[in-house]
Amino acid sequence: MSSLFFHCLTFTALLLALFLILDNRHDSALEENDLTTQEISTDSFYDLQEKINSMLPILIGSILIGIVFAVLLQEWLARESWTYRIFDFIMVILAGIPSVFYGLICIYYFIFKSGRVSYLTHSLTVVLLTMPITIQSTQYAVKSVDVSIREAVYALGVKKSRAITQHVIPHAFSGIMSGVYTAVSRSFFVAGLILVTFAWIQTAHSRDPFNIPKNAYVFLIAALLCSLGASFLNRKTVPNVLSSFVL
Amino acid sequence: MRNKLEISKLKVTYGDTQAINGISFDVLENEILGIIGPAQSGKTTLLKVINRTLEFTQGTSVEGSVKLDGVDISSISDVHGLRRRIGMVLPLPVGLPLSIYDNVAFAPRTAGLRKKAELDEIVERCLQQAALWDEVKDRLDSLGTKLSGGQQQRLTIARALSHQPEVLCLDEFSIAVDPVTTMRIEEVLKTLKNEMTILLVTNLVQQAKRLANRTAFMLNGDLIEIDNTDVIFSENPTEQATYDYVNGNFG
Repeated sequence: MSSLFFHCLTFTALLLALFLILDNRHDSALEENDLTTQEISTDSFYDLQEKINSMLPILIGSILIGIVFAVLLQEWLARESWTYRIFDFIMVILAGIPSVFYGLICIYYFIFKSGRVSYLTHSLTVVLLTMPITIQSTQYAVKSVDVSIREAVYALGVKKSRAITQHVIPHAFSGIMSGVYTAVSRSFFVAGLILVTFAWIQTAHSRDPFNIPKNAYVFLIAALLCSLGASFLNRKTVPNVLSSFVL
Repeated sequence: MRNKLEISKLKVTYGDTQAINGISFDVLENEILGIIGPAQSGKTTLLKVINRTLEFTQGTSVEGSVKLDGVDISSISDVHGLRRRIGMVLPLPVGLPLSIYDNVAFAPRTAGLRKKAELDEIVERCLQQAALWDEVKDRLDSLGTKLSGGQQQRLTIARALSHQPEVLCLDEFSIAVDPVTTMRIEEVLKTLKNEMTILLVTNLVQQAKRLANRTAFMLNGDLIEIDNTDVIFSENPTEQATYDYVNGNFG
């Protein structure tokens, strides 16, 4: 079975869970009679739209910083050094964790635990979601540039910084952009879905955001398992999946 | 003739593997030194040590010394300047994703040359020396990577000549070039040796015989023999292994 199948299952399970949660909220809101359903959704989505707009600079910034960091890591840090190994290990772990975990953990710790939805919490969530993938894919893209290109340029007496900016990065550009697309889509389509929905529930004056129907839990757990399955098939390494579980 | 390069007790290792086992020899100014030997004998590694591009390979260590005009190259702080003095042509063509003109003008521009007239002159001279001018003079703005394999290799040679190196290292330059073009480039090399010292690494022993003033035979990281090309290709070289290799008894 391909990882795409598991991704589809994850997405479907999440949608079903969210449908059940929203359905439950809809009923509760009507019963409490605090506000009309129309007012809740309109206000919440205006609020969310504003927050999403404010997050765009953070998203772009984290991608650019990620690319620069990855190039520095790959090209200037000796691969035998401990610093490189530690950074590389952290990036592998962070990028290997299914984004659904990020969504739930970020929501729980950054929003509900802190008691408010702030610019900082949004920013941290976006950075955690996009940066590791961007860094890792940029590393792979830069690494995959044929060594003969570098040798040919260096043999002409060109400085390393110029060789990298004018030849290595343009050669790796398509790989870097693929990573950026993956990172952005990951944050938007998987964790973004959870973030938006839970934030909506929160702004709908719910005192207990995790008071959701039991059958929705089943779908959420199924989504977690499916995303782990997809992660396993993508990476095909037991340590990565185990580290995902542990984290 | 004076010594251009002095190589002394040179040892190179890749991790635990010894690639060059303490070789010593001199390269004379304005000569073509042919370096022959089977695969894994350390020929390419030797060239990479000379122009210090081996430094980009992880896990290598170099012992001994290589002197250019009497100065140890490891003590030269301006490594980019050193690489401009020692040009390198790799076995397979590496077309930079630039126009033909920009490929050749790349190194002079990097060195700070900006005048269009001077760049034009360099581009034409180098393309003529690489026997490519007639084929591309009407399309200098087209991409270098669109050329055929042989043309790209000649473009690589033109690019290496563009910064007027004192030493030109050619590593299997004719591997992707047809025989007729190879002959044309060989004629150019015979002319170029008046202006620079040429190190020619080749698997084609007959090419070394045609071009080189002296020839070095390397085997498994050792320098077996270095002598005048006439002696190496005679019936009586000093070492039996040399005789066997050049006569096709092994390798």
